[in-house]
Amino acid sequence: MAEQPSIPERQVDVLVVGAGPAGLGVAARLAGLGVAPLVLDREPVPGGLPAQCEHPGFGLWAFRRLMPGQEFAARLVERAVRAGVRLETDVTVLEVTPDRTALAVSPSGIVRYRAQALVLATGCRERPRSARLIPGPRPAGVFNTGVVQRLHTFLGLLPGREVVIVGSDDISLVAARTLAQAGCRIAAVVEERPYRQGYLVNEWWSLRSQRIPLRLGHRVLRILGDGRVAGVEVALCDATGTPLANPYEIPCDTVIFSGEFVPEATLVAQAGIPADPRTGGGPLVDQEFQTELAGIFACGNLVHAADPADYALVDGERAALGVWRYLTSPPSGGELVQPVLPGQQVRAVVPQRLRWSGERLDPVRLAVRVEPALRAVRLRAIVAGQPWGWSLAPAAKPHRSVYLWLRPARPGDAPIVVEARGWPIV
Amino acid sequence: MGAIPGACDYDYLIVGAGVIGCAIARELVRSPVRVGVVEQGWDVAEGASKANSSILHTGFDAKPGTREARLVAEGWWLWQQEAPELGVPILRTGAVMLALDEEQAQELERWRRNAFENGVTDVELLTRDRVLALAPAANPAVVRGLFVPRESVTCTFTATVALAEQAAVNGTVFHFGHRVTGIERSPDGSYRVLTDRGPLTARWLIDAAGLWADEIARWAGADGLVITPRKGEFLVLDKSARAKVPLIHLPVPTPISKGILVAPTANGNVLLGPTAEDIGDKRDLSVTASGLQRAREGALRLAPALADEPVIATYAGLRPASSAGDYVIEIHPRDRLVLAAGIRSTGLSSALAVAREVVRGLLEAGEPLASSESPLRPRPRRSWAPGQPRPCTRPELVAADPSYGRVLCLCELVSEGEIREALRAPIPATTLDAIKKRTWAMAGRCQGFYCTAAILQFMSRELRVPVSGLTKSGPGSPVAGPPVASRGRRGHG
Ligand SMILES: Cc1cc2nc3c(=O)[nH]c(=O)nc-3n(C[C@H](O)[C@H](O)[C@H](O)COP(=O)(O)OP(=O)(O)OC[C@H]3O[C@@H](n4cnc5c(N)ncnc54)[C@H](O)[C@@H]3O)c2cc1C
Ligand SMILES: Cc1cc2nc3c(=O)[nH]c(=O)nc-3n(C[C@H](O)[C@H](O)[C@H](O)COP(=O)(O)OP(=O)(O)OC[C@H]3O[C@@H](n4cnc5c(N)ncnc54)[C@H](O)[C@@H]3O)c2cc1C
Repeated sequence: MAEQPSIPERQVDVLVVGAGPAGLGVAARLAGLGVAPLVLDREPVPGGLPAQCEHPGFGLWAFRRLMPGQEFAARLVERAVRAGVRLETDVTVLEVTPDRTALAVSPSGIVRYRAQALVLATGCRERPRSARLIPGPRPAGVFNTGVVQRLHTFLGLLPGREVVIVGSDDISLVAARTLAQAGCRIAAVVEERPYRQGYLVNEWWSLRSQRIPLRLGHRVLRILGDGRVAGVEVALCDATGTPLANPYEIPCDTVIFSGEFVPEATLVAQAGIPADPRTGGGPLVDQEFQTELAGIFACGNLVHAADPADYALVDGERAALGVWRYLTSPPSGGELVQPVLPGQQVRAVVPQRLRWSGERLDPVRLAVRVEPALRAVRLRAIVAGQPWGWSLAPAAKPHRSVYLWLRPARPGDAPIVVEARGWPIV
Repeated sequence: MGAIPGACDYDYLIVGAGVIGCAIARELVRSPVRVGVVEQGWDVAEGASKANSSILHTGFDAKPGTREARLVAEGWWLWQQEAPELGVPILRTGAVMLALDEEQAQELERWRRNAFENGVTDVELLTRDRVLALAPAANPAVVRGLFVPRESVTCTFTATVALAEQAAVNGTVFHFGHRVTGIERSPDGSYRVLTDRGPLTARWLIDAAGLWADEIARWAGADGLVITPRKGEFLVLDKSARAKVPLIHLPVPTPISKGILVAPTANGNVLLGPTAEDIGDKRDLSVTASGLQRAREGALRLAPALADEPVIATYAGLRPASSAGDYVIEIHPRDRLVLAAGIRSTGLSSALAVAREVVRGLLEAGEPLASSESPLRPRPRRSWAPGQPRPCTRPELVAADPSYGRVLCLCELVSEGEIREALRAPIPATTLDAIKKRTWAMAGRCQGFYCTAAILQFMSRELRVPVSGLTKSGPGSPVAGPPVASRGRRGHG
């Protein structure tokens, strides 16, 4: 065997993995604070998921108007680069270690970065057909929305002609509209829950305006087709998946499994960064998005998949303050860690802990996932029987966070329990 | 060489590019004969050889005295010799058969004797504690185990592709996308094999058509063979499960099948399955809700600790089971017909031995073939095989060729370089499935979420075919639809 050439090492102050809204948010903010981070992204085009979205629906918070994802991404990139962020694309991070190194490969070679602080912002992906255990043969023409977007945006291709979309969150609804306008016939949007996941206005805007039928409470029992999808067999089912009516076939050549997001937490798991099974494996973080490993931060869809891009950006900016604090005043050690726990009708909360290093904390925004879906929702955070904060929302659904601002009252380690009240949506 | 060279397209025409057909082709081209393979699929390993457990069996549990028992045992040793040069991974993990109650524990003794009868004498009965030391995720209810140290794990894709590629570089001609539709005999006795793309002629016909071997045999004039499909469904777990499964976990077998097992894969995942169900339709490769549930339940009985591990993929395969119950390997010298059929559930393990058995039979029939020691030109080296470090993690490779540094598949870390190799191999990958078999791209936890579009784009560039002309598994399986009708920046919303 030839001698292995050694892997060059590079020191950086802050290394950010992922140039989506979260990573760019961290980086731009840090650059503003005088730290010039290095951002790595595996894609040739930076900007994360928005860079593959042509539909409008981004930027309301950051730029005060709705714009297509590509424009949003381009603006974030431009803003970051102008602030002094170094951005490298076509670089895949293969591995990170608890002592804040990252092994990265690109066509120009393999490099090990040693960072004082490491930020993971690797986003999320959709659960594929196989992991949903959908029966039937395995023909071509079965996709996730993300793949369809890339075909559309980068290759100028439709996924097929006759499409069934499985899932009804806002991403699914928008995909239906985009494809309909681009020339597909959308045979149906099928949703296994008895209610629509996305917003009502989106149903009007995306489906009704295009006369696309929405089949609530329906499951795909089987995919049909030999070489290419020929149809799906669906049926109205109860919550356990037992058909309530005769199954029927919807002919189509394309099935898109949409939503059911899972954090892209491969690096997290390999590095042994403690993760939260309730979020699908995103790392446990504190109010500044620091993980359980000092100096390693995580934000965006990696910690709560998949919320709107603006929120990922906000996360990033908040995380930047945490990174800044970590770099300028390393932890003294005498910290109190206060767990944030899901209570009644709550499946997951991010952050999962507050870390107290002094007497006071800035207000904290909790991203809360309810289960089941609720209407007229009241969220409450309770510590030792005392309310610490509450908020109201007209409705909350499991796949999307609702938010609760918390004003941490006094240092302590008694758990904060977040619960949700409301009328179940059925 | 035999009579009238040049009169036929081939001296030997093999029907079926499964592991058996490819192994036979590779064995035949040790001699200066013309060998063709005709295959209805658009790649090798499109039948049973695509969807099995990828275990390299020792034959310890085969029925003693059968041809299967003998050839699996021989095949195991041959793979040890050939695998390194072929670039086929073998993980000698060992297997443990788990007895979950006293009744099953009694059975173990019988299987131990069975192993000895088959010449597998290194098996060992284990106490509960030793079972749990070897297999930490095994059901704590286990009472005893039988350890089979040489049971191994390989990769059915790599194995079949490697055999086929070596056959190809030594002169075998593969006709993909040719479905045999009938067989005629010329007055001189040679075969005219009709396909949906025209006839092929040959002196000898070798039937290695898996599930359809009975039909081919009947067309060639040999009656009596009946092949029935026996479906097996699988689930694949994420790599996170692999550390819990250091070796193959076997149930105590039943009369109809080896049973549902838990096995590591050469590529670092864990396999649960297969079920065993006799079905009627030889084309029915669908996974079913009940089948997957049975596979899962069966596997979790062996290793309940895997209950929370994420499933990344599912698939089904059909075992070509013959009515004879054993392998059907017959040489009919007068008809110049060879049957290599009914190779039901151990054909990956036995393939090299089956190939030799066929050549032995042909030699006996007086065919002037070279010995099994005659050298073959090697299969071209690949930068990666399952179980090895990926090129993108090897500085010397990335430095030598930057395309190894451009990672397309994030989950399996497959670079452009490996995909290019697959596209330019002796048997070039032309479909997405073929890329998957050779590189495992799109076969990881995201199942192509991140990389499908990029891989299509790269294939399109390399093959100079528009993306809309690319397929999953050949004509009739286009991966994408027509161009976007309106490329407006956005809708009117
Ligand atoms: C189909 C779809 C439609 C959507 N539509 C909308 C919408 O209309 N409006 C809206 O507000 N939000 C929308 N979203 C949500 C929005 O895209 C996300 O909230 C946002 O992109 C999250 O940002 P992020 O930075 O956390 O992750 P991402 O944007 O996913 O960025 C992660 C980045 O990390 C990179 N990366 C991952 N792993 C590695 C690695 N190992 N090495 C190097 N780089 C790596 C990736 O290449 C990627 O660029 C949509 C999401 C999807 C999936
Ligand atoms: C669920 C399952 C699990 C298994 N597990 C293992 C294991 O762990 N270890 C092991 O050693 N073995 C295992 N096996 C068995 C092994 O997969 C088979 O024995 C082996 O693949 C048989 O190979 P083959 O070449 O005979 O058949 P195939 O691989 O089926 O090849 C036959 C080929 O012939 C082609 N063909 C058929 N008809 C025509 C026609 N008319 N024209 C042109 N081409 C045609 C088909 O397309 C096909 O490609 C398993 C099998 C199954 C199904």
